[in-house]
Amino acid sequence: MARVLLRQLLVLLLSLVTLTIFTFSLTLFFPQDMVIIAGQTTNDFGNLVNHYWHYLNSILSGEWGQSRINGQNVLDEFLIHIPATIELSVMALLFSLCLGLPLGIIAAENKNKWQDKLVVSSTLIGYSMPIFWWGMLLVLLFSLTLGIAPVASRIGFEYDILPVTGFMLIDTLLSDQPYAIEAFYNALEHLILPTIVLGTIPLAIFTRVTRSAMIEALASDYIRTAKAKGLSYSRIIWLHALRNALIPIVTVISLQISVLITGTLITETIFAWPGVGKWLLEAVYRRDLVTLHGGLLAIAMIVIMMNIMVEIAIHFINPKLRRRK
Amino acid sequence: MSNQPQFYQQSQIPSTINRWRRNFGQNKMASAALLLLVLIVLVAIFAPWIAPYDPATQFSDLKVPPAWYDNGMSQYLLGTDDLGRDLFSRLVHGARLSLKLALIVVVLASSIGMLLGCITALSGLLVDQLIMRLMDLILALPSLLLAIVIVALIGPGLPNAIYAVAIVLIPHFVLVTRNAIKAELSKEYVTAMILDGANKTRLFTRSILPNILPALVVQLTLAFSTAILEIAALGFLGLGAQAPYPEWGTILSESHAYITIAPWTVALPGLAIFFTLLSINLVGDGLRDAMDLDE
Amino acid sequence: MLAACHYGDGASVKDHVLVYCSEGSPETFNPQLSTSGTTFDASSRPLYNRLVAFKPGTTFLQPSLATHWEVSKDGTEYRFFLRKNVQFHANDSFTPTRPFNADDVIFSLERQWAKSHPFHRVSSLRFGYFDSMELGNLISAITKVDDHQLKITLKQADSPFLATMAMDFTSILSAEYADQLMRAGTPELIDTQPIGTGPFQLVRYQPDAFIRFKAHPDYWQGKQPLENLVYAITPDPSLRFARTLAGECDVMANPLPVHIEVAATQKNLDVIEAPGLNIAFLSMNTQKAPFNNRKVRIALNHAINKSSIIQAVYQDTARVAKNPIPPSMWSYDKSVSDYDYNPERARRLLKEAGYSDGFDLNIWTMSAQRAYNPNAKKMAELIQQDLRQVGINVNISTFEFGTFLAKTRRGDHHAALMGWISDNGDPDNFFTPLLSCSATLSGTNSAFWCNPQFSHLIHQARSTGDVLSRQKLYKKAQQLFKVESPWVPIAHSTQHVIVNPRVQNFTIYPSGGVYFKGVSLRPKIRPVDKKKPKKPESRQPSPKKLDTKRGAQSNG
Repeated sequence: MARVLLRQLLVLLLSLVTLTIFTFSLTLFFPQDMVIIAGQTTNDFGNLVNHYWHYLNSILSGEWGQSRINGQNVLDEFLIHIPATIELSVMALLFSLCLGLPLGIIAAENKNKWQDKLVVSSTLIGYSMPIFWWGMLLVLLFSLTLGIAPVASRIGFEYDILPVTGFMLIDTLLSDQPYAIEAFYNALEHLILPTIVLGTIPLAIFTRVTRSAMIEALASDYIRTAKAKGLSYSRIIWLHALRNALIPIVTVISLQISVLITGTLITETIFAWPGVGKWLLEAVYRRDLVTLHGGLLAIAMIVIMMNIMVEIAIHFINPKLRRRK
Repeated sequence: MSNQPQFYQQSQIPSTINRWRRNFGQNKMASAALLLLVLIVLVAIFAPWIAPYDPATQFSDLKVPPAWYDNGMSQYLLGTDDLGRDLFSRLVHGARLSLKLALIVVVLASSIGMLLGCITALSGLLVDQLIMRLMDLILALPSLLLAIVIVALIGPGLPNAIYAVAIVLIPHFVLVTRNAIKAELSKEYVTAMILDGANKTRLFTRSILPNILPALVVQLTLAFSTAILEIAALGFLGLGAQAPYPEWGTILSESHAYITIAPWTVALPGLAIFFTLLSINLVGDGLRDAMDLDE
Repeated sequence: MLAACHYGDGASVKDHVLVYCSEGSPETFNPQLSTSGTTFDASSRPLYNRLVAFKPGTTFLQPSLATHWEVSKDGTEYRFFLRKNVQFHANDSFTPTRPFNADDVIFSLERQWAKSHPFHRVSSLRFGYFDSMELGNLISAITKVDDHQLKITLKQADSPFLATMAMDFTSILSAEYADQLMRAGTPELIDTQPIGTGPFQLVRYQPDAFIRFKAHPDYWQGKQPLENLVYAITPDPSLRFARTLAGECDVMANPLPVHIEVAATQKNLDVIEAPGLNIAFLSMNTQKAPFNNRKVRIALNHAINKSSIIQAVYQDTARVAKNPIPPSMWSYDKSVSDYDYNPERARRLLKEAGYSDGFDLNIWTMSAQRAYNPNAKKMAELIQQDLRQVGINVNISTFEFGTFLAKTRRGDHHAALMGWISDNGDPDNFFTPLLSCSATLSGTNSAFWCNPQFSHLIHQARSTGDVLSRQKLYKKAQQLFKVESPWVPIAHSTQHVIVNPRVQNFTIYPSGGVYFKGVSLRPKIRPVDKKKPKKPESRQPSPKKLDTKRGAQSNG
């Protein structure tokens, strides 16, 4: 066990170092802007290692440069914007898992029957849907035409909620305003459409993966033996099959993190969601390379760390790997 | 061939390609999707002849709904947008543009990616690890994020969007190529052939390459659909093709403001992207099933 | 908090909050440091008062922090009598110990004027308007007579001075607050944590997200019926409109013509309109051939189809312009006859001027959308088409706003699509900066047209305090302008604001800007009481009356 952890930690360190080398090389494209972080570059490659060292020091000490948008420290700005993105992404992930797993199981259970075909075609449609269009359609239908969903933002403007944690759902409950509970439900309402938009592609992917994993698990020998022995489709069999199917599903979760972040860029634009995606797009429009560098670095770090965590989780779940000494 | 009775099948083993073709043909959805895709490609190729008007011409009939509406006009099949441009002509030219751009991106990404993949698969450990670490890193980064950072570095606009998306796609090709080659190399028949003294180049071109073809083909279709989507996304964000290019994503970013009074200018370009992506994905799925590959 | 009892009784939170969709974040909360309307909407208009104010919906002045004033015979001495018992805001760090008095006025003006003033360099931003209106050169002394009387001496007579004192940058700050901050070593907070006398005070600001205001409990005109005010900062115009459509915003300013179109068909939206104090025009550089020839300039006036521009570019939300000032400005001369759309006559004039084969022309435009011109490029394309009919070959160049201004100020252009929005509701604010001889030096006279007779007329009008004589002089000036035609005046755009019907008493000010003083919210209507569909006409009769009204400018 400890060995596994140690190995993963090493991989983490290696990946992070590679990352910083990569982002450092990006800064060479625009040395003026990155002076604060990388120090004065002199286009002299002999000094490259020194510059990299200076760069690494800046990054580790939290000096990530100043955003051109409002002059604040890039790292601080990132930390201000990330809770909104995390809240949305977590909701989207939960949405796609809670819907995707059951749908995949139903499809696997009824392989080649109409339920299966329906699910498979739906996933294909969900997978092929350009989410910026999908978002626009949902807003047109539910917000503008039917008026049953909010148009944008995390919460109605009439609620004054102090940003304690940055997570709106928590902050509303923490608020001492008389309308705190009402605000909480309002925040939930505002989460509905963005969650659906962001979660559509992960939903399609989870459904597919669950379906194929379950089909494979159900076709495995010991399940067939159990069925032949006379056990019905009882819950026990399901749990066994599911446990084996879990591995590819968890593997896919780590891939979904990238998908979610890509989706977040577009979703936050459509719904004016004040998260990292919107922040980075602002930076692109203003050619604020310092902010972009910071955002890229931070997000890449998060993705790498999440991937490592999923790797560790897989080791726990997969008995084959677990027993290997 | 099809006249042969079943039990004589062993005297006529269909070649691999034919087997794939037959498998694919049995997949009704995929075949239908292929037809749709062919149709889209034809529209794109013959766009200048199919489109009734030039996509940038502004008529004085602003915001006309499609012809089947009451107040539609028959000369504008799908209506016009806020500047009076015929939507059908724009979409048709948009197909040409999107497919052309995606093709350039995929050719660029695949050629560089496959070359790199071959090199790493056949090289020693150090080169392999170095390149793979870099590829892993780029793969870990969200594709759109990387694309917009590249665009921020080199500026918005069409050629740069192509480079950005191509760069994002290269690692996928490298990974697939390398893994496929390595998998083949570890197979027994290859070891046997090497022991037999086979010429390395001939080994590569005659045996290994054809066997990795399925994986590459599937990756190509995946890349194609990703390219179309990413280019449209960049266009939608204002970082790709600029107005008045009739790129579908760019059209959506312009018509977004008119969603309540001219919803067809939003619905139709989106449908175009959707059906194109759907058909490519279905064909890709069908190919994967036909060639009997694991996901 | 004090709001607790309010919400407990089942009333919806929304009934006590008005949400305004604004188009951007303010640069600062101190209007002295900005020239941007967006900043003023968030600072001077809700948070501060000035000595004088515009009567809502008009360009006439009325008392505000000054109850009355006297002007000396030679027009150089202004005596202001200040209002008593005006309270400043109180916030967590500051509680005023005294009401407003002359010290506050002196602080607010001297901060911008005296380079040696301790607060002069506190901010990195400049005093944009103070410098460009050249108040530093105009004012010779500011003297305190007593706590409620102030004397401002000018170097020469200047009748627009009073109107200038209604402008946002003359907002009155709290001298007491400034002292406290200086002693605490944090003087810059005066610009970011504002204290004023205005109808609302700042509660919280989240950059690029929202600004929260609440009613000033001790406001001198009485506490506002509007409890809470929120500015929802939404730079994307279509999202602004979508929010308004869905009822998430109650008021939306600067709608695009397409939004006005949609809003007109919606039951739950009202469109208010009023003529704007602005003008869009084609400026011809009279120092470059062929625009040094008057006949050519008049030919262009005949060649351009203004009404089709109004339709295509403004979608009919503007009026054709013939004079350099808009019809809602007093002293507007209705009797001036415009050059009609007459390509034949244009061709004849060109022939007479020696240009029977036409000529090549380069028209400059800017890429940004302005209140007086929603689409300069489109306008240029239409003009291009018109001028081709009379043999003039037009090439269009587009520049970014800042670059455009810099280059046209240098006179690099041949012809350019320009515009102007009134700063202070005084006619001089159009004539002097745009058409006077001295303005050819600063470059704001983009036609570089210097006509001594014209300049003399407007200079005289500026120095005399008598409204009737000013009117006569401006009339003569407009007639002369028409004869010489350094421009082709194109349009005066109408200001529109989209409001939710529950908003009551919202008025558009001709000088632009969003004001929430006196605005209230009607409590929620039950579905049974829903109003009938509203026709898209103006809801405010008074602004429309402005074109005929030539009332005396209030002088005391």
